[in-house]
Amino acid sequence: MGHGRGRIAAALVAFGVLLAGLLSGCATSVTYVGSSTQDLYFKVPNTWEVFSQATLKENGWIDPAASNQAALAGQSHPVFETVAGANAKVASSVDTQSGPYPWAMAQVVALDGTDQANTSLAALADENYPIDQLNQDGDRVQQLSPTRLLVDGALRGTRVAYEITSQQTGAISFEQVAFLNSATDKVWLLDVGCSPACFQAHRAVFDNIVRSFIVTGQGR
Amino acid sequence: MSFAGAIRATAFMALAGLLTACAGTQAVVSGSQHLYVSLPASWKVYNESQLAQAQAFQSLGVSAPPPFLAGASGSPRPHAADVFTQSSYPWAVVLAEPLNAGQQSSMSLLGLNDILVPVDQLSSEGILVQTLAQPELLVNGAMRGTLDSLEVGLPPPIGEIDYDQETWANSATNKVWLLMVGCSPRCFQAQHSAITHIMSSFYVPDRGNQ
Repeated sequence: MGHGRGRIAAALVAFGVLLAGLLSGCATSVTYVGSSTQDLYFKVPNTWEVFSQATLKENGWIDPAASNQAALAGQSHPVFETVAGANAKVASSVDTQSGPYPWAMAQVVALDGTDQANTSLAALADENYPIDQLNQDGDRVQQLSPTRLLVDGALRGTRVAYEITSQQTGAISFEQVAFLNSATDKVWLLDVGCSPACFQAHRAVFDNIVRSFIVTGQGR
Repeated sequence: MSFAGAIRATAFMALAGLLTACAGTQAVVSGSQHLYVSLPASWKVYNESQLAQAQAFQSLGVSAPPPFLAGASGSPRPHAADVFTQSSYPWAVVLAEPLNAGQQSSMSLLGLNDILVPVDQLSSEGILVQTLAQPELLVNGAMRGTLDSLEVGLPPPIGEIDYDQETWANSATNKVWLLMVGCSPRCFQAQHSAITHIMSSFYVPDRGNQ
């Protein structure tokens, strides 16, 4: 009897230690970023900072007034935006997208009727950076890895990686994962990137962030 | 096909048989291609090789050979050549076909219109393309589609035709399923209730990730 209790107690202690280890491991390695109302999550290293909406608005990363105006006009508009960065300097300006500090930006975009009718898997690549337009304008656009098709039930999407160089943005390397729902009236996307040299150096970190991106609820 | 797939296909066909047995209709069904449509029992149904001989049908954008293709004519003196013409009696085309990588990448809801008849291209060439009803967006789980009603003025031997077309694409966007029912504009107006009834019977189940 005594031996039995001892074994149970030992097992409980071992389980507790294991659980604590797992929890502390989770707690110390990553930060979960996302929105339960917009059905998306991704993980960034816990050393990264997730910027407040006020900071993003102040520094031009987001423009809630323009989004509201587009919504009222029945045009495509972002309904959720969040940005995280490996350094607080990332938030200081959108120009830091081509800087030496890794960043991640997630968006949920409501599509208007025209975009709903015309959006294809290929068009998802243009959702954040106008790849097609840059190509036409003769700016430097280099695909860093082959486009991957993603299918998760009612969600379809792509994973792409590009290096773009234009006068407007400077040189940016980025990877993007984007999903469309069946109704094709909403896009969930995550972009990660920084300068080409930084991107190369942090490829593994970016890969982990992109692979952690999840859209729950099947986009309904 | 897997065992579970075979069971599903058999159940699908059995259900289709039951649904049509007492209704004065006939089913055009493919268990392997997962589609079902109910046509009036009096209609004559044609297979792919019979349709391939019809001149009008050769102008349609059908891959060769599609996994499933059937046509039907509601004429009292039916002929495969009735399908996709300015016939005074309704006809139908049922199709399941794969999309190639280029189509998969570029396919939009609007593009589903162009699977059989390149209406966008015809319109830009100055050929009459008129929308007869507001297009409808269709969603069934991971499947998406459109229901369109169009009038197209094509050169002979097709002529001016009106048709309803329901087209579905799967989530992976590598396959489409289509039903087109039409005839001459006058016939289309007179037979619209029967045509709508056929269109509403078209069923392509949710294919999930496939």
